[in-house]
Amino acid sequence: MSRWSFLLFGGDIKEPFLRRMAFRVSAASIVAGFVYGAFDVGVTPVASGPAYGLAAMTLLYAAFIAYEYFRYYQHSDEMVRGTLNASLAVAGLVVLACSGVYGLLELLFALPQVKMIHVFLFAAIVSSISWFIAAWKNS
Amino acid sequence: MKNILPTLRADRGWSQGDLAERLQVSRQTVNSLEKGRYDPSLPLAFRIARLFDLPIETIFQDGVEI
Repeated sequence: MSRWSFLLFGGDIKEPFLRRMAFRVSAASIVAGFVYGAFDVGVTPVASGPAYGLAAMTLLYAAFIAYEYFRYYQHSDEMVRGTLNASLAVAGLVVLACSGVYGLLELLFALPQVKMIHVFLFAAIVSSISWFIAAWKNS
Repeated sequence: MKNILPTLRADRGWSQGDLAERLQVSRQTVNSLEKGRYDPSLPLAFRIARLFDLPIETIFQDGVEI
């Protein structure tokens, strides 16, 4: 297994388990991205059908990602688990800090609502960079 | 942390995959250990020491002089 395989896929992509996980997570993320892109929550009234639908989809998507993460964690050894923990901690802190800054700015300057697709993409990019750095450092 | 894992492994004619299987870790972990990018946990260090029948401090050196 090359270092790049670990950086990009979290392990040896020849393993059926990892291949299946990569496919499932990619497919679910693409679907979620399209749905977020199609229904603009940023300008959708909060108490409306599309908003409820998107909230339900977000919950399902989050539960699915958590399940996949748990399965990957179970299949991993100590180095991979350490890398996962470090990456999650950094990504979580960055997203949390950005949410705080945005909340403050919105309160002070009445910024427009952020579109869900932007939040989704931001979280995905931050998580990917965080994983990449942690995996690069450990592998 | 420096270690002599590549030498010990080569002496026995094992591949990284063979060693990984014996230690019940991934090949990526063995690779990272050998390159000194990853320091093993104490349980893993003990498993390595038992496998090669050597003291931990013979296999791993932290480079600190006391």
